Amino acid sequence: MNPSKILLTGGTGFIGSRLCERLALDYKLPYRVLVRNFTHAPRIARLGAEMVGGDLDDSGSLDRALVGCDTVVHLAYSEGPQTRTLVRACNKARIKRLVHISSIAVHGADPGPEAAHEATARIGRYPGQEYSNLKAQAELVIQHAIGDGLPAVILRPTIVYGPYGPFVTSIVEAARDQGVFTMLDEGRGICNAVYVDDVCDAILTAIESNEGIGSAFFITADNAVTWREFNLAFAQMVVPVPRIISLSSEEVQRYWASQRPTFKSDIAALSRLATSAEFHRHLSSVAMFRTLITGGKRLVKSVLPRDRLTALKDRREGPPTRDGETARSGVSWPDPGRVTRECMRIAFSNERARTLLGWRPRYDLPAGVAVTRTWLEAANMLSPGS
Amino acid sequence: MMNDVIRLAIVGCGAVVRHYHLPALAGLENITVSALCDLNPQHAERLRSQFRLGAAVTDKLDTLAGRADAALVAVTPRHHAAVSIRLLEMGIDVCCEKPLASSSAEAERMIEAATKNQRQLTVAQWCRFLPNLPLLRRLVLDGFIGDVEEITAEFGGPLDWPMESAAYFSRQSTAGGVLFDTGIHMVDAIVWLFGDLSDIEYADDSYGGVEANAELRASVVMNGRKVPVRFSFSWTDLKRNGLRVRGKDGSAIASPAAADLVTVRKMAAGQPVVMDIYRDGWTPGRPPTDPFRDQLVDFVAAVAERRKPFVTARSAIRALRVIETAYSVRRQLSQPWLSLDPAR
Repeated sequence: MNPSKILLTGGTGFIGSRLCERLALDYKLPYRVLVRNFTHAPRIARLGAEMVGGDLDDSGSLDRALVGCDTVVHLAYSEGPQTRTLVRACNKARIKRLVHISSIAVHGADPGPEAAHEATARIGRYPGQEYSNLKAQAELVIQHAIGDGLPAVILRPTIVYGPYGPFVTSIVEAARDQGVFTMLDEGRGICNAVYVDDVCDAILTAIESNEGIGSAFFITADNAVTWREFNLAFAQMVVPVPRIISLSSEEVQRYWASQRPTFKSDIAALSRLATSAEFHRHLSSVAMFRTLITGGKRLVKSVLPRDRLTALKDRREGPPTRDGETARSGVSWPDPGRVTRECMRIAFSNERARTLLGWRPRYDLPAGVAVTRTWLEAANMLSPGS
Repeated sequence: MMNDVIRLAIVGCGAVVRHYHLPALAGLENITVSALCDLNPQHAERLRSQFRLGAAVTDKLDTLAGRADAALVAVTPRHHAAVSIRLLEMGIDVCCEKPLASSSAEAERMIEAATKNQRQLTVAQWCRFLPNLPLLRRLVLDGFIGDVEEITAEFGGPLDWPMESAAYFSRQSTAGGVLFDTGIHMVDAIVWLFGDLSDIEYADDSYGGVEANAELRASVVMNGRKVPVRFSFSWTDLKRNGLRVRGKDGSAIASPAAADLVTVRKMAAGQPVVMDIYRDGWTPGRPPTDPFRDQLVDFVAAVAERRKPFVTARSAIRALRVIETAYSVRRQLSQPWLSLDPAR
């Protein structure tokens, strides 16, 4: 179909901003962006993009934003209830095509080989995996709406990278600022990377083609790479080139498990809060508490000798720590999200998107990296002095 | 002066007033906010309540006559001139948010109105109150880093300015993007410190909207020699915020984040050294200069003493002219990543 006007949610984000650039400069299609926070909009403001204020929690703002649109590209992060609000608004506005940008996270953090193809990939509930559950919930709302007749297409992009992409900037910033880059399990995990322009092309194809309605598609490059290849492609652009150190995913998981709050750590945190000067300062803005705190401090000072007071203070503050740093390297522990991503064991297939939608990815990793590099250089991100 | 305490009207009750001007005003003694004026009275009410002000709230500019001695104009830039001129005609001194106006022609009309009505007119170019800028100038002109080879000025980072509508990016409200809104600080600083710019070349990343990234090149004459000046501004990428002067014998850096010092790198005793040179009367540990507060102190004093403000509107026009020239010679900024060629 040829859209009369496309409404984008999430149009100020990484993929959304690039899609706006492509819509304005390449596809030359009319579009409008639903903007929740205009502070994030300078990249699309330079395109003269039509922006309307609103968000997915406000059905009135959605109704207004949809006036004159027959197509919606839903890129914004939404939970179940917000997705239902969007579906209702789309039905009310008789939208002809909804492209829902989902994620491979709907198959959980550690999907088995059956998840590599859409036909056998299942969406479930994943204990302790909040992100996967929320993405799954949102997609299930869309699938249900499809069952009720909404002409929607679901795209599940894999690891999307490119200029301004958070996966790229986090690698470069870590390598540049610490001079060290951590590799998990020597980077053996499978990285299903896809360049952002290929995702934009898939979105356009999902709008134009009628073959994808009612289906879900993995959007990924033709060949998966290892996380070692992906991480090093960006980390080694940094000058000076960072030292690479290897950590096992088990070691990192053990560290984060040890950081989970326990009853004992909660009590310790409460005790630190109750005796902190900052807390006292805020509490003292209430006259009654001010009197109590001042009186209490005076009493303690009058009954305890000075050295005992100092000892108590030291104990309260504890020894100096380098929170979040690995003991042996002095660099930050990789966050749990990174561990989840980089322990991926399967390569997702893009066969269905190729055959049914007629979409073709145009970027392999070296091509995508080369284009991204031009942005990293222009943004002066590759050296510490920048 | 008509009153011992200056009655200030705030015209335009948006983010800059909430986050900067009113907190700075709270520390000043000889001034009181007598009126809050905004086309949307809810914005004015919100400020009155948040800062517990006894000010009158109005959406009509004309009602400020007799209620205010001075006004802070913080409406959208396209309306700076019309609003300021009306206030000056009402006998009210004006401190206008930067940039002074949408064009130098508008600014000239504002100056004319101030002169005709014998009122003070200043512009909130707070960088002029950074004490490290005149210190940088003295060090450079005294030859501390040798003959100057290049000046660079960068300002920017991912935009974090709170906003409630798209007006900040709308050409109906503003005359430009990052160059006009953010770059004006550094352009004004260079012109003020080292003189007018020539040989202006300019590129930005606008594709029909307001630019988010801008690169400006120019020359300035120092000691009879043309010195290249490079400016770089961004609303998306983190920049090295400040002025850098590279000389034959070293470099000197003044940053708004360290208002009271200039960092010099040069050879000394046969080795490269880094020196932090403090302004007179300041040492580490003392409170840093607050240029935002100091510009208001100066405006209040100018109103009370009937003297010229430190930043005159006439002096601010020079930067506005540079920006006008830049837009008139604009080229598209090279952004190779926008290309679709995977073979690149």
